[in-house]
Amino acid sequence: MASTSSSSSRYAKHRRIGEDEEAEDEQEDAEEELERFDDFTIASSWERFISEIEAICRQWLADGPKILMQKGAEGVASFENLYMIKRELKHGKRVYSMEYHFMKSAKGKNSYWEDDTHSMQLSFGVDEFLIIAPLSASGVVLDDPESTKLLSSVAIALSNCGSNWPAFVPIHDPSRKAYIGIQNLGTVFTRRFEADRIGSQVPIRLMHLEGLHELFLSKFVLSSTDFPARVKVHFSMKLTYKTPEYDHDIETLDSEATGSLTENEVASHPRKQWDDDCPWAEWYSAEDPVKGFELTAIWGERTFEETLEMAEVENASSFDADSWFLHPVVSQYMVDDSIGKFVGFASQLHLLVNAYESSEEAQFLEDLAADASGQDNSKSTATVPPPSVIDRVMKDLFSDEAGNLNYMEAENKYSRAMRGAPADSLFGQFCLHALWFGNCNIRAIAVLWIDFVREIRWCWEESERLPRMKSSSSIDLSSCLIHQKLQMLAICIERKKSLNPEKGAGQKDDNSNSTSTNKIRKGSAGVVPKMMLLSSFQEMHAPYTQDAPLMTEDMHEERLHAAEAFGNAVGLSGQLERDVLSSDMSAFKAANPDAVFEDFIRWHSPGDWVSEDKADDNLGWPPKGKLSQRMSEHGNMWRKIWNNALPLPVSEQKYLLDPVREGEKVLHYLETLRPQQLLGQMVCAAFKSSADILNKTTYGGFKLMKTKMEQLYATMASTLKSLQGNSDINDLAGDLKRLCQVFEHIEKLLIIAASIHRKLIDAPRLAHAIFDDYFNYYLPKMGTTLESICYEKEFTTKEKVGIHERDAVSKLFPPPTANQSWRKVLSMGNLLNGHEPMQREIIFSVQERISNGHYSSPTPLCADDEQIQTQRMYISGTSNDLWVALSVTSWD
Amino acid sequence: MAATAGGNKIRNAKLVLLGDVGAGKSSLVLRFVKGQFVEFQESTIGAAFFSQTLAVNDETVKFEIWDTAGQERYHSLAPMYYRGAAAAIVVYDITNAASFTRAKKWVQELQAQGNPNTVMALAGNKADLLEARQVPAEEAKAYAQENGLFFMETSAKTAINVNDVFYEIAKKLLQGQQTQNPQGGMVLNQRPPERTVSSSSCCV
Repeated sequence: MASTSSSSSRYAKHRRIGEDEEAEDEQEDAEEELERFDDFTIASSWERFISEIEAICRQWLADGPKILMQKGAEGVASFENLYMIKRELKHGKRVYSMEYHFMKSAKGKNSYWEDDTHSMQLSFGVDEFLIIAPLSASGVVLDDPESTKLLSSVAIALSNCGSNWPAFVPIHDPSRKAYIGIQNLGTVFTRRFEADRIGSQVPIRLMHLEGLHELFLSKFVLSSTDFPARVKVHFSMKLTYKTPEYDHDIETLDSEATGSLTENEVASHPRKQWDDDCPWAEWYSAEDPVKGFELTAIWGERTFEETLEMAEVENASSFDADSWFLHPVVSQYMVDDSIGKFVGFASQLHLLVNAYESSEEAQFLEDLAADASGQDNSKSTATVPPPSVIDRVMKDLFSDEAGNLNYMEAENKYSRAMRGAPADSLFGQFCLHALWFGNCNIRAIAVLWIDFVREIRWCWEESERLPRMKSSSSIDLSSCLIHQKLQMLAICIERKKSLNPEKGAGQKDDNSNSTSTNKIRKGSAGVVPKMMLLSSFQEMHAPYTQDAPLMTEDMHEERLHAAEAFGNAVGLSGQLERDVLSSDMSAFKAANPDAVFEDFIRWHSPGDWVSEDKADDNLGWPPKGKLSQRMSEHGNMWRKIWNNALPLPVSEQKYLLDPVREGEKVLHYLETLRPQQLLGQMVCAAFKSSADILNKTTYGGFKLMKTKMEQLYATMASTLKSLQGNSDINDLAGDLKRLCQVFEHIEKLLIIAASIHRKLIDAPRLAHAIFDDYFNYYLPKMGTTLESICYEKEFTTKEKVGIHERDAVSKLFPPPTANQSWRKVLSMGNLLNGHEPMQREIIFSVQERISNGHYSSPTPLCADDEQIQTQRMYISGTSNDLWVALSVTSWD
Repeated sequence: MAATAGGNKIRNAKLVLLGDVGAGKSSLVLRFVKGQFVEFQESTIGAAFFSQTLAVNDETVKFEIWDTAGQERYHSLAPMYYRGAAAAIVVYDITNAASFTRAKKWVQELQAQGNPNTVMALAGNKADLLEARQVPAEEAKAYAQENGLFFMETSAKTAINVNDVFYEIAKKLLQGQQTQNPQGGMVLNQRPPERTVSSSSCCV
C-alpha cells in the first residue's frame, strides 16, 4: 500500500506541476482578457465554493507534510504519526471546516491493526484523508442533498488539482458515525466509501462471521443472481476481550475450586481484599489500580473461499490467533492528584506535616491534649478518637506478642541520614499508629503521646521489659533521639532488673571472701591463651568487664560542649574512658590477684608491650620484654590509675551507668518533650517507617520501580536532614509537603507495580514490560510542583504477549461460574475460556488482478503491483452494535 | 552557625582521628595544634579534645578535633566520636603492617556506619622512619584510591605533611559545601541549602 501511494503521489506531483503552470497561464490570460470575458468557472456560489476548496487543497498539496508541519499542523491526539491541518470555508450561510489528515512518515503495509491507526484509516483502508463537515453542534450533514453536493464539490476540486486524496463527509445522526466518501484514483478508477451503524437489535445473522461474510459478498455481487462460485476473500480479525471485574467476585480469581461456592457462602466469608498480603495492608487497604485487562487477539490476513469456512474461524481457539496484546485497565485514581482522592501513607504523612506546622503554637503537649475537652466538636478537624480506640492502639503497641523484634529491615545507605526509628520498633510503631489515629491532627497526637508515655512509665516502674525493642547493649546514634532514649530505657530496665535480686546475695559473698583472703580469684571470664603472668607462673585470666557506658546523642553532645568550653584542662573529655579503664583494671586485678601493671598492659594494650621473646610460641617464663617507652615514662597516667584501682570484680563495682538515674532521666525527657520536638522526630520516623514498609512489597523487582524507590530514599534523606537544623518551620513544611507529593507518586506506582506483578506472576517479562509502559506514561506527572498535572492523555499502550506467556495471560480469564454464564446470553462466538469478545473487528477484502492489456492507460495504482483492492469492508461489532464501513473501487 | 567575622566566615568542622594503638594520632594532633612533638607521647586514655582554626583562602575552618584511643576496648565508644563528623583521619604507622590492616578496618566501619558525606583521609604516619618501613606507599595509595580517600604519608616528628593533611581536609570541606548535590534524589526546591559542614554542633 505504501509503495502504491508513494508512487501515486509522485505521479500526482508531476501532474500538479504541469497544472500549476497551466493555472498560472490561465490566470494571466484571465487578467489580460479581464475586460472582455466573464469567468464562468466562478460564476455561481457553488462554483466559487469549489474553487475555494481547490485553492486550499492546492496549497496543501504544494506544501507537503514537512512544510505543513512547520506551518502549524497539529498532531492528532493519541496518534504519534498523524497530523492534521484545518481550514474553514463559507458556502452561503453555512460554515464548513475542512481537515486534512496526513502522516509524518508512511505506514507499513497491513499495519491497520496497530494502535496508531486512526479510525478513518482503519475503516476505509486509507492513509491520508480529507474530511469536510459543517461547523455545527452535531458536526454532520443531516440532509441528503447537502451531503451529496458537498462531496461532489470536494471531488471536483480534488480532481481539478489532480489529487487522489480520499474525501469524507459525515452524514446522518452523529451517533451513527455514518460517512460517505469518494476517492479519485487517476483517470480510470474511483473509489467510493460509505459507513453506517446499527445501534441496537443487530440481526442474529450479522453477529456471526458467516453472516458478515455473506453481507460482504452481497455488496458487490448484487447484479448477478447467484454468488460466483468462488471468490477469494481476504480476511483479518481483531478480537478484544476484557477480563471480568476483579472486585466483583475476587475468589474466582484465586482458585477455580471456589467457583462452586454459592452466593450465600461467598457472603459469609469476610471479603478478601486484593492487597491482604501486601505489607501496607496492616495499615490501610488500597483500591486495586488495575481494574482489569484488555486482551487483543489478532488474526492476520488469510484467504477464504467459502462461507462455511468462516464458521470454523468462529469456533477456533483464541490461542490460534497470530498475536496477542495485553493492556491493563488502570483506575482513574492513579492520575487524580486531588487531595483526598488517594488514601495511603502519603495522605497521612501530609496530615502529619500539617500537625508539625501547628506544633509551634503550644509549649506543652498537655496544653494541646487538654484543649480536647474544652472546645469539643467545634472543629471537626481536631477531634480525638474515643478512649476505646486509644486503648486498642496501646494494646497493640504494648502487647506481649510484639516480643523481641530483630528489626529485619533492609538497611540502606540513606536510612541513617533520616534519623528515624526502625518501622517495627516501639517508636516506629507509635508513629505509624499516630498516622492513622483519628485524622492525625495535633490534638489526637498529643493525647496518644501522653498515654504512650504513661504506659512507658508503667513499664519502667514495674521493671517490665519494653516491647518492640531489640535487646542489645548499644544505642543506635543514627536513629532519632526518642528512639535512642527508648533504647537507653530498655537497657536501664534490663540492668535494673538484674540489679535488685543479685546485689544483696553478691555482697554477702564478697564480704566473706574479702575477709578470708585477698588472693582469691574473682570475676574471671576464662584463661587468656599463651599468656602467663610476669611475677608468678600463673595463667592470665581475662576478667568480666563492664559494658561500655551508653550515651544518647544529647548526652554526647553535652560532653562535647563541655570539652569545647573547658578544653582538656579539667580532663573532662576523657573522664568516661578513664572510668572504663579504672573499672577494667579493678576487674583485672580481681581476676588475677598476682598481676602487675605490665600484665594488664599486655592484655589491654598489647601494642605497648615490647616483647623480646624470639619466637611467639616460646612459652618460656618469665616472658621477656618491656613496656613501651611511652608507658614507662615517669608519671604515666595509666600507672597512676592502676595504682589506685582496687581489685574488684564487676559484680562489686559501681556501675559505670547508673540504670536508675539514667532511666529516670529518659522518662523526664519523654514527659517534658516539647510538641515541636516530638512532631519533628515523628515526621522523620513516620516517613522512614512508611517507606520501609512500602519497600518490603514484592513487585517483581521492576528496575524502574527500584530506581524510583531509591530516589525516594535519597530525596527523603536530603529533605529530612534539614529537620535536624534549626531552619524555619514554615520553609521546612513547604519542603515536606513537596516530599509528600513525591511520596504519593511513588506509593501509587508501587501499588500498581505490586498489582501487575501478582496478576501476571507467571509472565514476569510481560509484567515488567507493562509496568515500564505505565511508568513511562506516568513519569511526566512526577513533577515536583504541588499543583496536580491534569492528564488528558489516556494510557493505551499495549504490550505484545509472547507465545509462551499465553497460558499465563489466559488465566486472567477464569472460566465463568455457573452463575455468571447463565446471566449472560452469549451470541458472538470466538470465546476465550467462555468469555466472548467485547469487540470484534473484521476486515474483508477482495483483490483483483488487473491485466495491462485490458486497461491500456497506465494507472498509478498498479505501477508496481498488479493487484488492487477492489472491495473492502471493515466491520466493528459488539453483541448489540454493528458498524460497517465499505469501500468499493469501480472503473467508470 | 556560620558566624560572620569581618566578612570572613568561620566554619565549624568536627574531625575525628582513628587508628591503631601507637600509630601516632595524638602526636599528629599535637604537631598540628601546638606545633610540638614529644618522642614518647603518653597513650591516650579514651579521647582527647582539641580545637584549631585554619585559613583557606578567605574562609576559616575551625576544627574541633577528637583524638580517640586506639585500644580495642574503646572501640565500642568510637561511634560517638565519628558520628556527625565532617572529617575523619585514619592513621596507621608505616613501620607496622598490622596498623595498616587496622586502618582498613576503620575505613570499612566508617563507610558502613559513618556519615556518607564525611571527608576521609588516610595518613601513613612515622614517614621519617624509612628504614623500618613495612607498608609500601604505593599499596596504601592504591587502597586509598579504591576507597575514595585522600592519602598522605606524614611525620609528626619532622612535621612533614602534617599541616597539609588538615589543609587538604579544610579545602575539601569547603568545596563539598559549595557543591552539595542531592545525591541522586529528586530536587524539591530551588532554595540553596544553607547548611554548614558540621551537623554535630547544632544547638539542640
